[in-house]
Amino acid sequence: MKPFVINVLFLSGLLTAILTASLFGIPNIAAQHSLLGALPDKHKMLMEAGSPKIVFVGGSNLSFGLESKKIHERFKRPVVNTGLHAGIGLRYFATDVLPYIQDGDIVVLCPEYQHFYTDLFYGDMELVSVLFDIFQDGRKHLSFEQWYNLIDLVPRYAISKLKFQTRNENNATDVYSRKSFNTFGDAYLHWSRQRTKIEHAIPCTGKEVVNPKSIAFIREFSQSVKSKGASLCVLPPVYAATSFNNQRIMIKSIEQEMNAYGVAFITDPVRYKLADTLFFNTNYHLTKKGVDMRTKMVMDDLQKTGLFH
Amino acid sequence: MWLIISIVINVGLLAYFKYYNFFAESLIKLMASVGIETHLQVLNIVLPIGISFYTFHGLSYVIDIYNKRIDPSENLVNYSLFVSFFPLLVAGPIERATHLLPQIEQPRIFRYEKAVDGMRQMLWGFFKKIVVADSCATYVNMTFDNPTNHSGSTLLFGAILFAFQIYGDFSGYSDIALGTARLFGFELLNNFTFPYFSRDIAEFWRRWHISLSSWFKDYVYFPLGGSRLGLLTSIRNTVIIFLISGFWHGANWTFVVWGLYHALLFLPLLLFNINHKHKDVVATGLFLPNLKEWLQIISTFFLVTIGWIFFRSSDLAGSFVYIKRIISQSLFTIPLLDHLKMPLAYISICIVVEWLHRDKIHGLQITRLKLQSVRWILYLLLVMVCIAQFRHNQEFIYFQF
Repeated sequence: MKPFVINVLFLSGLLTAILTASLFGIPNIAAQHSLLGALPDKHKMLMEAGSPKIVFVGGSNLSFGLESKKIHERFKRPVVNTGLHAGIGLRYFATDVLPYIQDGDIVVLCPEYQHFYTDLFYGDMELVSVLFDIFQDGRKHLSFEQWYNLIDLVPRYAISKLKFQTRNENNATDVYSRKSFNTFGDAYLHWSRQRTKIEHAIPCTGKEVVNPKSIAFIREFSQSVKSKGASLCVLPPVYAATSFNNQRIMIKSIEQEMNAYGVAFITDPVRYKLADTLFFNTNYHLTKKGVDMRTKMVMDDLQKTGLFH
Repeated sequence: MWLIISIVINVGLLAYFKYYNFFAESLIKLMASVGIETHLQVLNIVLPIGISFYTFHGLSYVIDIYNKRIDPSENLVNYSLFVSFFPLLVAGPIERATHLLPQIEQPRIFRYEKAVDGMRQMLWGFFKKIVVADSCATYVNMTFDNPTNHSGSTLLFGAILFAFQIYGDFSGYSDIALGTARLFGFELLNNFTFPYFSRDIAEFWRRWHISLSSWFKDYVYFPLGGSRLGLLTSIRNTVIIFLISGFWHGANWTFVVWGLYHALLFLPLLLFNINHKHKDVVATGLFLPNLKEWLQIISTFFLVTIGWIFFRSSDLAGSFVYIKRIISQSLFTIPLLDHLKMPLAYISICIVVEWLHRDKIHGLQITRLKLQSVRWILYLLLVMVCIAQFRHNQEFIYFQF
């Protein structure tokens, strides 16, 4: 049995060594030039924005769904759209902005619905990519529970780095590139592009359950924001009508849970159910026409909160 | 008397958990169709995982004792291990007391070659499940969930991919179970011997889910008289076996029709007495099959794939819609290519590897590779592909049975 155990251990060790070398030794140039690579740019925007500012926090429903310049013009305040990708996870993208929040800021949290009832709350492969190749300091923000949920993605990510990368490293016309953002943090390259067919969210099975941890986290986040003298508004994400209808039961449950935890949306989620034709390439990414419509709705809703005098 | 009590308890539990709702709902519908309102309660219970498998383990034990093929086990631990041996608890293979109990009762000796080959078989099983089967799932779900939204060519590829999904899923699980058992010194019944290289349906059924087919043959077909009582009895028994086999998979008419369909494919071979024609390994000693064998293999695969449409569809109407849409002009259009290329690439690798090892127990019995370093590189590559392809929430299809 001894030779068998030795061989198994040797092969396991070799595999671990390859994965570790890949994880820490091979740079992920494609990720650094993708929209995920814009995270340090957004940190810089937050640092330089001054205060009191409006900070939008969420996934790609924000990056691909807002024109912050108009919000800045309306409220006469600096605006930073930190939205990047839902795969970064609610827990991470909210925690990531906290150090930059100052007295008088208004934080508008706008997670995607999937953050409330899937493991996306803890983050997906995109977060692993951020932690190992874009912003290593971000690992400090992670709780043990979050590592536990991400840990099986780490070997997969290490192997994905061994693949031959064909992505153009510096493609300024790619809507998912680091350069696709304007000075406010909005992705804008797609505004002039033709929309493509979007894949709708599948209908709820009725078995989905709201993750109470995601709601509890929002309450915790709200307290952290308030402790800094800032205010938090939780905004429902924009969602394509067909997907919204398919997920209506789940969205209702999320809304009820939010109300129960005292962190209610500032408006009815159904208000942000927009026609499928206003979406660019996913059920969260808007075309320019959709962006204009959504931006106006957001401004009206923020106005109603009474936070702007 | 004790045999009957034992069979009634075992089959009764299976019927209660798995088939009660099916019969209740069918009866309600039948009565409603003749204008009679029936108030039968439908159960809201969870189906115990693997119930069909361990029920059959238990049945084989009592029947074999009754037939004096085996002595009753005097050791409760040994018997419990036989019924609940973890590698085969949830999805088989369906073991026989005559085969596994004597192995449990004997002291086990570690054998290096056996343990290494068990690991290889597990690795090949993981590859078939995680890489082949799970990569097919997206395309298959898309086509079977909404057949009316897709062209005939896309639906045809959906059906072909399902054929490989269910093969990769189930034979992958069996390889993992057999490999795990071998690692611990147990030899389980082989469940798959490269069924898609079969030249007719009879050969397919000698190579697909062998432990279930042989169980039905030994405990149902032969007690019913088998083929000893004339052709008509033989035909009746064959149809019964295929129907039960279909029904064993689930309480749905789709499985019953799937069983009946295979019975209809099998009967001509039985009638012309050519159901035992292909017992050898195809193209033995040759690199490729001849033209006749190619045609036989492809036509058998095609017939089996049609059967899988019934198996995979949620209801009979859906399966007929699926087949009807395949047989349309859109069959000659370009299929949807999203999520298709990688599954086809993995399927090709699987076919080539298994073809090269078609005379072996499993696809990774690499006796040809003499250099240890080359073998290790191959193992590492396979492990890495499995890790890269691993996805959450991809359960084994046969867990539901």
